[in-house]
Amino acid sequence: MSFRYKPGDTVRVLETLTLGHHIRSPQYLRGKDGVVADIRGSFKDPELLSFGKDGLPKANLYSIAFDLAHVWDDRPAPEGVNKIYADIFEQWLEPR
Amino acid sequence: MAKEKQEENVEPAAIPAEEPSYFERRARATADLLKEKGVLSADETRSVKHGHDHSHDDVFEQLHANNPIDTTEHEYTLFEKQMLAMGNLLREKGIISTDEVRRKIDENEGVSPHQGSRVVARAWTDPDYKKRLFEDGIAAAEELGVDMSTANQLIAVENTDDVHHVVVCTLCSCYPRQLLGQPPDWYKSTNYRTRVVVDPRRVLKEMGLDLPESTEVRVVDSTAETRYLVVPRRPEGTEGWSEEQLAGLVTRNSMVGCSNALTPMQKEMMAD
Repeated sequence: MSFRYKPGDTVRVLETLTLGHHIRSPQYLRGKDGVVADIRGSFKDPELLSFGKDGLPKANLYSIAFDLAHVWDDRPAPEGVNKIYADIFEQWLEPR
Repeated sequence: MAKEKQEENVEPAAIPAEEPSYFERRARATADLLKEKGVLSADETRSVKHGHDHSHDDVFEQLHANNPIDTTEHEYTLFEKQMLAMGNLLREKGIISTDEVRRKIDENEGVSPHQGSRVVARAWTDPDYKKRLFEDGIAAAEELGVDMSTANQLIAVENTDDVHHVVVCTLCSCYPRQLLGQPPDWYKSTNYRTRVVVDPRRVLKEMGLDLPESTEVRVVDSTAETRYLVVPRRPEGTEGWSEEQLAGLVTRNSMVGCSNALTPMQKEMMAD
């Protein structure tokens, strides 16, 4: 399985709106920029599994680090350094 | 009888008025399986799918007539009705009893975070184990006899003076259940799930953990296949302690990152 992104790459979570189950990209991170912190591996795709499919082909999963102040850019930033780490599947990422 | 005969002819396709929910589909599939296995009859299976608790309508009404909870505020969903119908049929047939279900709930919810505490205590005392834990969490937990067969991936994250991790699942309630048992109610609450990703320091402070500004806070949102175990800082004054003694300091909340491990003094005060 080849991974499109590597640790250190800046990526953006797609802003696509969705309906339905087991879309593992939370709404609050859609359209936000983050940095690939780690490659988690390849897993059966929950978006297919939840509709009774076999989950194949497997989807690549990354740990993405977001700066909390940028995620909530309409709010005053809390003190100190604050990050959000979330696991996002490759089909939800685009290069920056 | 005549009525039952009529129902036989109802097309199964007439069941869903709209797209059934995931849970409704599960309930229907379960009812089908119970029929295939000879546990339920065709009629019973159909009544479960419709959420018709035929044989217990009266009992149900009576139950709620004496129930202090105002049921008028709550419209039962199809899934809830299906589960009630299925539960009552299985009880009537002597397959499961109400007591057994209650005991199973206690059992499920009573799993202590003991397994996780053992993993953390071992990591504190054995540097080689700690290394293995951070490389492959599942293998390291299995080394201590924990059943990890239901987990896809376990990542251990370490809390230090410089970096503090706190775990949440904003989408639902993903949690390392194999190590910590069932998640507490606050972990599943909308309050915690929405606020900890917005102002984690404040939420942690409300939970009794005041972090210095110099400590970086990492909120780990458990969104997909990975489950996270926080390895809290080893408290001071525990040099030479046994693994078992140390495990007694590792609380559930410390392994979610909402508190530190207990200090020896805190532990002593709890014992009194």
